[in-house]
Amino acid sequence: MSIKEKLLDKANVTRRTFLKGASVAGATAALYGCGGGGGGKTYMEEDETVEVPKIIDATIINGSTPHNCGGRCASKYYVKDGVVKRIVTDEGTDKNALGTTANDPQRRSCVRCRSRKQWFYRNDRLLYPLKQTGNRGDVNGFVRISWEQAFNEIGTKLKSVIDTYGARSLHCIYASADSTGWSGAAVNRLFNMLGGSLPYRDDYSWPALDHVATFTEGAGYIPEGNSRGDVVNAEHVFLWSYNGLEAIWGTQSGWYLTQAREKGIPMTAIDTRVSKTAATIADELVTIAPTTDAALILGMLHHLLTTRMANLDVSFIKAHLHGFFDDPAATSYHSSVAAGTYVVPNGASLSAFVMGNVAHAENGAASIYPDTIGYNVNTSGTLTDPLAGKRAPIDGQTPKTPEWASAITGVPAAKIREMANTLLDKNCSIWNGSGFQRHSESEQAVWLLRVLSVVTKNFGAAGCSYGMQPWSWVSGPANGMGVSNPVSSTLTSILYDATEMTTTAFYANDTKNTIPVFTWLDALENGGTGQSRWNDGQIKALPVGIKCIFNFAGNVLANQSGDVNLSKSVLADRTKAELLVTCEHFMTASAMMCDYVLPGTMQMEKPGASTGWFSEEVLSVPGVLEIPGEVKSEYDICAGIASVLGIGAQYTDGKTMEDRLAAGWAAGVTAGTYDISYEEFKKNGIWKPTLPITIKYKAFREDPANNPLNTPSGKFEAYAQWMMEDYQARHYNNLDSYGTLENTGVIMDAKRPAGSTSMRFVYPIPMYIPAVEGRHADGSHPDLLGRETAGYKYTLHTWHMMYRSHSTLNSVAYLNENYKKDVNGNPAFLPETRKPANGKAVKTWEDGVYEPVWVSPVDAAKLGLSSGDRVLIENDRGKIYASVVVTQRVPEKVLYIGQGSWHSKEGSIDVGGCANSLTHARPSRICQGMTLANDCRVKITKA
Amino acid sequence: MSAKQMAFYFDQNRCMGCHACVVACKDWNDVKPGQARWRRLSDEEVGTFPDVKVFNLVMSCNHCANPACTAACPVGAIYKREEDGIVIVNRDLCQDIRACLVACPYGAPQFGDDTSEPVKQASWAVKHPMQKCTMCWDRLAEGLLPSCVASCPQRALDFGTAEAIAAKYPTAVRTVVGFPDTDKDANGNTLKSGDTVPSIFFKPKA
Repeated sequence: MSIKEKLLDKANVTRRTFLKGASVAGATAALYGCGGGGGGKTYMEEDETVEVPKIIDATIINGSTPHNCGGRCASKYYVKDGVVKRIVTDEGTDKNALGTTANDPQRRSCVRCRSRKQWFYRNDRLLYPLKQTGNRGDVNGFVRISWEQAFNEIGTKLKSVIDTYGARSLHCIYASADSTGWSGAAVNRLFNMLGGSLPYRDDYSWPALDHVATFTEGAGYIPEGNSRGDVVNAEHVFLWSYNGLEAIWGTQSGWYLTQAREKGIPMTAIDTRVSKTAATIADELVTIAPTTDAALILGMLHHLLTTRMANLDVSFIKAHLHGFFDDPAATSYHSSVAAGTYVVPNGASLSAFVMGNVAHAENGAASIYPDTIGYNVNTSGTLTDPLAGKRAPIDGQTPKTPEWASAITGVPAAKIREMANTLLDKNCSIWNGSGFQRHSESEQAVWLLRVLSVVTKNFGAAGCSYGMQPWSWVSGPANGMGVSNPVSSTLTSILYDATEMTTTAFYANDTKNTIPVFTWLDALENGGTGQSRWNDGQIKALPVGIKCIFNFAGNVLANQSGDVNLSKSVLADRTKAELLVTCEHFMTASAMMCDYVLPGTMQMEKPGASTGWFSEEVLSVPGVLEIPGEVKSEYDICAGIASVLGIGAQYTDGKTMEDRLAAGWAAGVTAGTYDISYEEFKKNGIWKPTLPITIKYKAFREDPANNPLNTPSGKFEAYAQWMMEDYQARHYNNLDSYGTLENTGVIMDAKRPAGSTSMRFVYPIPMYIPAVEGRHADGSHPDLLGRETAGYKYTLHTWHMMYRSHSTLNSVAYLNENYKKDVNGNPAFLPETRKPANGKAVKTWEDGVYEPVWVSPVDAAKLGLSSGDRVLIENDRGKIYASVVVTQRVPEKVLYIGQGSWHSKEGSIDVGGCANSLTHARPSRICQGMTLANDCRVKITKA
Repeated sequence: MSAKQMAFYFDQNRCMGCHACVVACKDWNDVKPGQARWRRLSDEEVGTFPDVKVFNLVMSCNHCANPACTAACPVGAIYKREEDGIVIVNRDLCQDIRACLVACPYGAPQFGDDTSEPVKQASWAVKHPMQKCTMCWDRLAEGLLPSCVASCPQRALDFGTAEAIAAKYPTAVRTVVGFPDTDKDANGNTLKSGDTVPSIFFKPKA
């Protein structure tokens, strides 16, 4: 509906008003003759006011359009004839009583959900099944085919792959765009009915948070803290690498923090730059060199262990934290763990490491840890790693004083002491983000933050917390799609040597029969050859590589994983993957690399439900919009393929998606979970229970022996022998023949109960290990790969920007124009109708609308750059164009670009500005997680 | 003066600069992507890294008590409603003279282009007559808040009569970092029509 139609909606007159003032121009208007409203009348003749337009006559649908941000917020849709006319958010009562069970704010959505109209109706949306007839990646090779042909050909090829290589060669790749869960559920159901697939563990976002929390606090997923509402009880809040206001970490989290701040609770942000969060709610910003958070925490611990030792509650620490101090006679709270099997040798504790060569009164010896650490990488053959034989400093014999930490992090030593004092002396809540774990040594700082929270008693009490609100207080209706993966059980004997473990009793050990999610490319490139690009024990053990990938609602293949150009070269090789299928809304870089591209439904074009991060509600995502073209749901697509393979009826079980949701909801009502009917849920668009204000780990804090954690010691673990053992069980040879531990120290494990003096690649304690392509504030970074010499003097840092959700919504003009500018500095976006320039290839970025890169004024002056200049950012992995934004919000030597832009190569340059054209694919040391955010060195030049 | 004057309130401390209000406005009022934006976000960095403060400001038409645009428009296409003080443009009357654009201190008058407004309406005299914020008068008529105010995830915006806003926020002030002089036109010249007296109140960033 146009402005005109609304302003002059004659059929719906609600009010007429008359001009009383501002008529001085009357005579002038007459001179213009032709002026005036409909029919050429002038206001000299008629009333020239306009009527208040009547709000369009549309059906209002309460629902949501969840993305994989963290939000899952409420949206109200004005729908007419199956078309979205308007989108607003929750307009119910905004009841704000933070910290009480009466708190029930509007679940207001952010700019992403508000922009969705443009996403639904872009004219570059995929509407028909496409088949690649040329080489993979050739946009001109795609031809339109019928669904019948798509189902037949994909089904036949799928069967052939299974017959030749087995179901374990199939992979349903990580994909997060469909937050109603149908995409993954649909593919997994199909694969599992056909014999299973190669499963992955963890996720792209939080691999280290997940892995470390599993082993060091026995948590199911992430470090867990108190309810978000409990933040009002804190005396001080630390926002660690936390940009939750912009990323939307749970609906209303930013609003909660804002309210807490307005109650006078001081907030300290620890970040590398002035994020939207830091700029808005932090009273102070402590800026830190990227990837050096672990050093900062070690400096704080040193201060606590020395200057503040008299104030530490040593018996409390010993009761709640295993291995902060040496404990050669440690006993577990769990009787199942035999005495003497899970101990902390003298000099091996974390505090011994912190103190270095200085003995601490609570410990049996000074640090046994060496000054350097090696890399467990390929040292010979075609996949020889450039890190082979290299060693990074871990300063095992050096006291980790605040001054030591200051040199690395750039945080003044006095500020390090001050923060440590605050944590010790006040009830503090630490809200963490995840950028600080996105580098090659991702596990260390995540782990150390938990240690810090226990040493300073900031857990298990009101206002005392570290971590995220417990994940799933409420859950959405089961869709009944689950079928167990028959491959999983066959993998344990292949991928895991359980004899390395002292115990596996304390968690559902998903490392035993899965590959790390980030290593799919390695499994595709090298699986079945006995090799791994990254010397990953489990990839080397795979009997067969990945031969078929279904990529439904995801963009990991050639956009959202490390080193896109490497990914593309592997994907292009038809001797590796024999079948690549994408289901998408748009022709993404990942879709481009596939053999078949199938048009899938968006949210609201199929029925669904969703729960957000820190779930406090279930949102309805009803299927009320008309489905364009020949678009089909993921469920119907997989059912179509299943039919070709003779299991169509079994696949659907005669049920539609709506049937499944209704049944799942009804089961929830029967179980007492939901207190309204499915119809009421759909009508309201949301279901909100009354939630408790949970104080996580309260019982453990108050009586640890009788409420042990799900770890072998029963405590938080600063010394996690089983995490190291798990690494070894994953077929990594962890003994580093380079040398032995210091001070005749030993480290014990299940296979070496008497202890081994050997150095290791993974130790049982957290440390500071420099990131491979990191930087130190004082320039002391070891730079083992010679990035400085190669001219890559800048760090590329990426963040989750406001204007997309990962790569979802990347092309939405309503979002683009808010952060992109054209060559003239005006807000700009790429038009949907992309026209080839000069009859040549499509020049999508010909208008000069590039991704912005934030550059400090100091660097800009050095480089001769001004805002709006086009720059080439490059390294030996790729090149991108970007548009400069000079800003005081960033430090020198670090360039900031939002992650998730669509890779779009013209010649050798990615004009789409995808950060992953530059990042590496190297997994992190222990959990083999993604390392994409800030472990990347580049060169920048005006272009 | 109008019998009643509706007004905006903006808490500069709360605003994180997310553009939710900007897009909520465009979506509700069906303003297509492009140069016309009824509500705009600007930011100002003060200081040098890392001691830098960011002052966000979102602003639409301020529905001034003494609007410079109505005074400047030679064809009388802009008028102020008696009952609530909302300033409205009659797009049929607009001649694209853009005197309003020069007169307005706040950049409120907006003009589409051929991409965002491809079809000229029959009743329009020009291709892209001026358009601007109506305070969502259609929503007000239904008892709803303006789209922008109802959208803000940070609750940085509020809305009501000027009297009610002043009473609800007794410490509110009339200007804030980034807000233009209220008596100067877009070129910085003093307005002959006098101070505009914008209908917006602020809580400045501490």
